[in-house]
Amino acid sequence: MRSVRSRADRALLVVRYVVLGVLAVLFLLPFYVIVRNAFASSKLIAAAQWNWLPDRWNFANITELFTNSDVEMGASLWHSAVMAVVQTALTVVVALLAGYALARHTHRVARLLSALTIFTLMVPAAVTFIPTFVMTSALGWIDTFRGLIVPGMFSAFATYMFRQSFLGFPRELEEAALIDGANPWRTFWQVVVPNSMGIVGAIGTITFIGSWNAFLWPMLVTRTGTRTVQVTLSQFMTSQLVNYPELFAGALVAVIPVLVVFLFLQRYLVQGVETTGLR
Amino acid sequence: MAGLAACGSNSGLASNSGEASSSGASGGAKPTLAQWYHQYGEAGTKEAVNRYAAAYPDATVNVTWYAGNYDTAVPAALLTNSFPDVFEYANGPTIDMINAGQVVDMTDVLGASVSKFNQSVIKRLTFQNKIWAIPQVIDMQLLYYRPSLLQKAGVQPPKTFAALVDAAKAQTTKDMGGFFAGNDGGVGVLGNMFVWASGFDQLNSDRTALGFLDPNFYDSLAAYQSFYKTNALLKAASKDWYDATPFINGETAMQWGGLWSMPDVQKAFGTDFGVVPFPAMGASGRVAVPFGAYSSCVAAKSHQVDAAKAFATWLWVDQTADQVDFANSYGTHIPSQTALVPQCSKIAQGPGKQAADMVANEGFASDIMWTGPIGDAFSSAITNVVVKGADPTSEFKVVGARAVSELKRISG
Repeated sequence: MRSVRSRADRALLVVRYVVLGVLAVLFLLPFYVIVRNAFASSKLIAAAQWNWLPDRWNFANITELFTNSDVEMGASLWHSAVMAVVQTALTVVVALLAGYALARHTHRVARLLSALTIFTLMVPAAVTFIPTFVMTSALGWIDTFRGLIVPGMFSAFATYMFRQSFLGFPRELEEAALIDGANPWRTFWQVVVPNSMGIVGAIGTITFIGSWNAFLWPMLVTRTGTRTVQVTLSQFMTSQLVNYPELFAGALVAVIPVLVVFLFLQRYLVQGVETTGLR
Repeated sequence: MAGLAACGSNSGLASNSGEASSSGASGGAKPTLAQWYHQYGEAGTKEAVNRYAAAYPDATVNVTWYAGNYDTAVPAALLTNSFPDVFEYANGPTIDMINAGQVVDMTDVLGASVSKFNQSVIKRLTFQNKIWAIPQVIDMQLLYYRPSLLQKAGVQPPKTFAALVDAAKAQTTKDMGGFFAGNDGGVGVLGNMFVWASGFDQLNSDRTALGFLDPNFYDSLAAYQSFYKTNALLKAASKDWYDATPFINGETAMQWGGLWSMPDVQKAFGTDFGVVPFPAMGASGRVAVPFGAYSSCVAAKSHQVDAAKAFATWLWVDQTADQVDFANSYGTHIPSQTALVPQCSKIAQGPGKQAADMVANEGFASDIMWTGPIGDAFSSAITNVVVKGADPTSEFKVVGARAVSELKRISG
């Protein structure tokens, strides 16, 4: 009886692996198409007949991105890196402090501020988009890193997530530090934050990926001085034609930093997805 | 933070900072103007517009070549202090830009020169007896076919929709569709064609309601829906309708496309291709082609409206050699000034000339009061009827009500 059950279990396990394997291949297929098209000719990409392999491994598509002065891919990658790294750092710091304050203060004002923070999450971004843009312009921040970064560094989502995390943080650790003579500021940075690196990593990873992939906001506030890589990629799609080889080559280059971040911080990303319920 | 502190403030919008205005006011110094273009796909266009701007003697013109969603970026920029003095916009400014006072009346600078332009385009740019932009070049859509394939199938270039369906079916093979108008089955790009080719206009004569809520229009939609169900209408190709690759690849025997693709088609097939307008639909129908013209507008909040108007006039009225260069050297376009058409080699003869004649004789442009909300409601109804088989009368009753309230809103 036991052997029958174990055979059934093994069969079920095999079926599960096969299904998961097939699904993994399906999900990876678009990424494979990016790689194939990044090195293929325009003719092959647009061919009526599907081909699994590129007609040639044409690295010129990649080199053209960096040698074409009109594209400015190198500068765009730099602008995206500055935006993503600085915005992530500032978002995490601001949200950490705000989240901690909202978690530790329980009076009426703090509860009201918590409720308002949650309320802003329910306002569609499209509603605040144009007013934010008008304010950014009024400050003279068009085509500057300030315009790219500052409006996006106040995240109600991150604040809320940190608040929820700190609500479950053991107060005993903080009290022990206070007894040892640490003030609240030192207790926060030397006790609370080091013991909350999981949620910091998760929020940081999610913020970085969102910032790197942002399109609409950079499209509006950048001109030529701070154009990000996602806006640069849109140059290959015009109303008259789509330059597929350079578009896919650019997409391949643009996805590499996110891939690197994912490889190093995937543990935190998974934790973030589990914690936040993000898809 | 160092990155933030180091960031500069280069927007290319010096004219709006006040500095250029003051220098202009003090006399002597040339004003500085910001001019925006959307990103054209044809190689060399960016260099050309920079060259034209650099040649202007009376102002320093900084050209911004806007990548991305230009149609969203311009209205947003006009709400701020980081806007262009001169900008192009598809078919001129929107009715909302005009009503909000964001653009200036260009009637005075056009003056008597208005008669030099294609009058259909001028009509499109006219609202409340004022002309709101200067047309640049005309783009249009048309139907590509190959005479050799038609001859093999024993059919003629289609002049009616029934003939188009017959020709598409006759040329369809297991490897090639008969007709292609986009990967959505043509419902996106052909929507307005159903109106015009059925013999109607988008709006009624006093622009208070839709002008096509008629059984003949519904019959046309029914005819297209029947065609949609056949495999003669290709619904998935390697590229979309605005790129001639499916036609060139032999994925389709006929394709609805743009005039801008004609050099590619000519290169692929030599003389073995022809063009016709969209065929007449139904008993009251007529052949039709849609056209549009990016047109040069001047922002009302510019500190140098007169200088901006003078520049736009200099470029798009006076500099006829540049206009011919712009229309003829980068892709294929039609100059807005009709006298310049014969000077453009690509449209001086053959299919190019036929296309130019189609615009003059059978061309239609979207009404200036055909706004985004009306267009969105219309597109949804077309999709529901053609793709999902919904009842056209009830679908367009909703669109009609939406249009009436929208037209009332924009009429004040």
